[in-house]
Amino acid sequence: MKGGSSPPEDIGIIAHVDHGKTTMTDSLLAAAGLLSPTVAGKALALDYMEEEQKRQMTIKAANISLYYELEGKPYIINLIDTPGHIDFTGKVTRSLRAIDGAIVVVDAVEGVMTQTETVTRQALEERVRPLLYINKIDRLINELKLEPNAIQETLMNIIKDFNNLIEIYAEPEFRSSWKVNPALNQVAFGSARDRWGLTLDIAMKKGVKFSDIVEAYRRGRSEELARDLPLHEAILEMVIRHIPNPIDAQKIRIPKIWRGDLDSPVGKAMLSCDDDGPVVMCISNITVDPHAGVVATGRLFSGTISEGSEVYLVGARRKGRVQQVCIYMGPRREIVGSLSAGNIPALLGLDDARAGETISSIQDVVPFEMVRYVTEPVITVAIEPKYSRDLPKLVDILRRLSIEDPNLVTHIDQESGEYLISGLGQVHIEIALTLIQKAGIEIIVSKPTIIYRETIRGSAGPFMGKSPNKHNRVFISTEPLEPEVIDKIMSGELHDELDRRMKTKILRDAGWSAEDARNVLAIDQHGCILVDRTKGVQYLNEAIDYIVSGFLSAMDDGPLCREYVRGVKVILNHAELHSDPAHRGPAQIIPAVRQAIYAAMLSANPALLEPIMRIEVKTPLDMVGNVIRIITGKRGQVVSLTQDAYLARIIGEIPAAETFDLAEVMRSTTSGKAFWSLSFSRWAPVPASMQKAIVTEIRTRKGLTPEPPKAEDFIVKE
Amino acid sequence: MLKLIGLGLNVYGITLEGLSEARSCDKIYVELYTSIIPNLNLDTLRQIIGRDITLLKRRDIEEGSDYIIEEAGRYDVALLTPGDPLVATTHISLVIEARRRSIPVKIVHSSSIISAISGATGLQIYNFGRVITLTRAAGGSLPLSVYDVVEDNLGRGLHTLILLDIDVEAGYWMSISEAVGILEAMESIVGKNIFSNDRLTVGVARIGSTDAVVKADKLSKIKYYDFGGPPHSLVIPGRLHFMEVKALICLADAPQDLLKIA
Repeated sequence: MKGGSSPPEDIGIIAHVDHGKTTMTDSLLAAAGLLSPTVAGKALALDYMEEEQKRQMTIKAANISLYYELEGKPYIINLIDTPGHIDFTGKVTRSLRAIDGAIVVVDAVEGVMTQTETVTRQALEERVRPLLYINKIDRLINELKLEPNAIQETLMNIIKDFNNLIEIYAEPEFRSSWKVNPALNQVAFGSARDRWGLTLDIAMKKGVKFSDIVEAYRRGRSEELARDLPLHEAILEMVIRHIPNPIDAQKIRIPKIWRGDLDSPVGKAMLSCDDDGPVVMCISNITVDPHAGVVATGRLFSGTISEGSEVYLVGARRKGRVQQVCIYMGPRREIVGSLSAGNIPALLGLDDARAGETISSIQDVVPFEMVRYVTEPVITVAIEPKYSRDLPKLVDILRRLSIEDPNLVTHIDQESGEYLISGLGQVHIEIALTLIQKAGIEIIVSKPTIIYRETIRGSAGPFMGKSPNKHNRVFISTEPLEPEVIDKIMSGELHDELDRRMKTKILRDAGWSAEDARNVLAIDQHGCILVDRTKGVQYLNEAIDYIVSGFLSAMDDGPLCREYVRGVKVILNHAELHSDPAHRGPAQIIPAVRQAIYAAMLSANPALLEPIMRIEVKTPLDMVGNVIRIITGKRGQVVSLTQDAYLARIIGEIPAAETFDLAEVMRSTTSGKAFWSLSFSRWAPVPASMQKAIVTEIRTRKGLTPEPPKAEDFIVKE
Repeated sequence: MLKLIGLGLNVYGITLEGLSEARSCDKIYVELYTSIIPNLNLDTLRQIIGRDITLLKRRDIEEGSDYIIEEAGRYDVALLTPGDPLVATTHISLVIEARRRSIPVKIVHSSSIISAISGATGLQIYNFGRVITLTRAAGGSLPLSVYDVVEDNLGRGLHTLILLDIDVEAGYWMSISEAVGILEAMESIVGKNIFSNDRLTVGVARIGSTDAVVKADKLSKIKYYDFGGPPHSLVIPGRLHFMEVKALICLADAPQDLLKIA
């Protein structure tokens, strides 16, 4: 697929939700050749309708290769989908890694919004060059009735805002060269809904002025625009001219996105996008096909991958064999046998692969990222099939959903037998439920519940934990973990699989003593660390695994109400163990450790944390007062309020627990005029006055005694 | 009063004293998780003692120790336990707690593998070093302290009795062949020739029962010898006294050439 003069261009489309990403992608698909050069132009029309129907799915599922000719030269453009909703931003970064350029779609009326800012920043962090497409010009004309001058002014302001993002977030060497200039055709304008678009170059060539466009709309002849100024031409020409091809792009990007040695053979191969180098591929997306199984799609940075290739899944520390190498052409996977560096292959046969995994022909290549998902689900629903015969199907789809979306946690509650789905927000869960229903399973869904965290606000201990047989003792204290360290765990920078040297370095940098930093026994994924401060304890090495299990199980099951624990540094100060292995097994050590941790945490001012959501609202000016009243009425606060001539933008914070009826309240209070979105912001202590009631409620829901245990229940004296 | 009464090594291993002490108690408990007595079950025991007996699981004793001791404060409670009650068990915690509360404790000893091993193999008690239990490799990591103990004992010319893990509640008992497999795995990691193929090893099964088996051979051969049902144990002999050599040949069918090496 590379060969000769035109290597593929790997791009993506990113946007704030509702700014027109899907419509624009559709428009590109409809217009450009969906098939490989050999088949392009033939057969396409035959199943066009079917493709059209499947498109929605396609876009969700994979990437698409487009074929386009510019000035007689053929180009392949690999378009990778990046999810629009902010709930999936982890996925966005991974998708961005596969591409070299991104089209940032901005709504002409709403302008640059928070998510525009977020995704542009993420693109720049991956050294993906962003280009600007300003969409929905029709709204400026039809809704706001702007004159050509005012339109131009609005557009220039958006470009200015966008370049401002580049100024803030781009690294110094790209700060000026990556700013977009309409005169250089680095900005496209148009309406994806009406399928037209232009760059200044195209406008000049075709002799079109803004006043002509305004005129066309006023006469109701927008279809002429689609005919004369097809959107895909504007976009694809901009892409071909301004997005670097993989060979140029990887020179710039590899030093930033890969942490290995650039002078090593594999480093050099990736820098030069070498087809003959070792295989190195980063998986950006996993789908589960009912027939083909796991499909792993990602960017091949070096080497050539072929059917039958033996590869290592670096993170999983496993070997796999590629059964098929495919590219996506619309909803179909087309088997191609092999693909070379710079492409975006879809691989079959690697059932253990997960999004984020690095695949290589070299066993110990430095991975692009540690395959470890820091999932912070904040909301859970229990579901059950309406008809019990659907149960196997439900189990199957739940498994599939959790493979495809690592942020969606599915779980069977052993005690209640309930199927639980946890996600990053209500929208995230609703999408999952929709997918289940689309699969033809009727389900009954419980009321959503909020997921809390337990933490401590003081230090306490050491406390003794005794094994059930009384022949082993551990001495444990707890302290709050530094917020900086929690952030590093949650961002995935600090995790259990890192080698000891790296862990030590990260913790030293965070201000830990050399002693503590060197002796980390375990890192819990919800933001807790176990540290060994013992000196010369006999048999400790044979009990370490059990001590770690005890720690992890206590962190999964906080003492207040069995929610996950966050932000606690657990210190093993000393241990006294039985000399015979039969009397210091897991059944003895794990309870001892849990007991000591609970005694310490309950003595250290335990607190409950609740998820706080960030809310962003766009609303006509006359509704600002109402919106602010809604936010403050829900234990929330307004963080910022900006406004222009037509719209106000309010950013605030609301506890997730208060958001269940938000949609309804917003709609009724603003007559449906406010647009808003929620995303997870942070964990914050629940108000002291509410903690007791919430703890009681959670415990009752879980079938525990309403009163949480006290420290005394776990404290033993000798 | 709390009475800890040993059940010994077989169905009739309880002593006459133990029997009469048990019968005189208001409440009789038994635990059967610290060792396996061949053919012994709750019904047989009830018949032998002629009283109702309550079976306690590990959790009942460890987590419910307060309850048992509190009961023993009000009337006479017997706890029957396999072997000798305080050998290779952790029941001493019960004794200490009862005494701390000024509750009288009586211990009725019986035979245990720890003493019976000498008679069964002819290896003299004076020449044994530390005893250790070989547990299952939990989570893939081998209990290497077993290797250290045997190495240490051998270094001082001492025999090692290796008890093999049991988990009665899970229906698990470690056989000699499984145990040898674990020891070989340790050898491949540590490599100090402690569990080499030629290492003289004595395997014993059901000591104290009429169908007891005692067999001495190279480690690599012991693995394939059929020892029958549980419980199994191993001995790794150290420096041998000439009487011990004679005994191993006579009692454990040890190959003569092997003993020359040892």
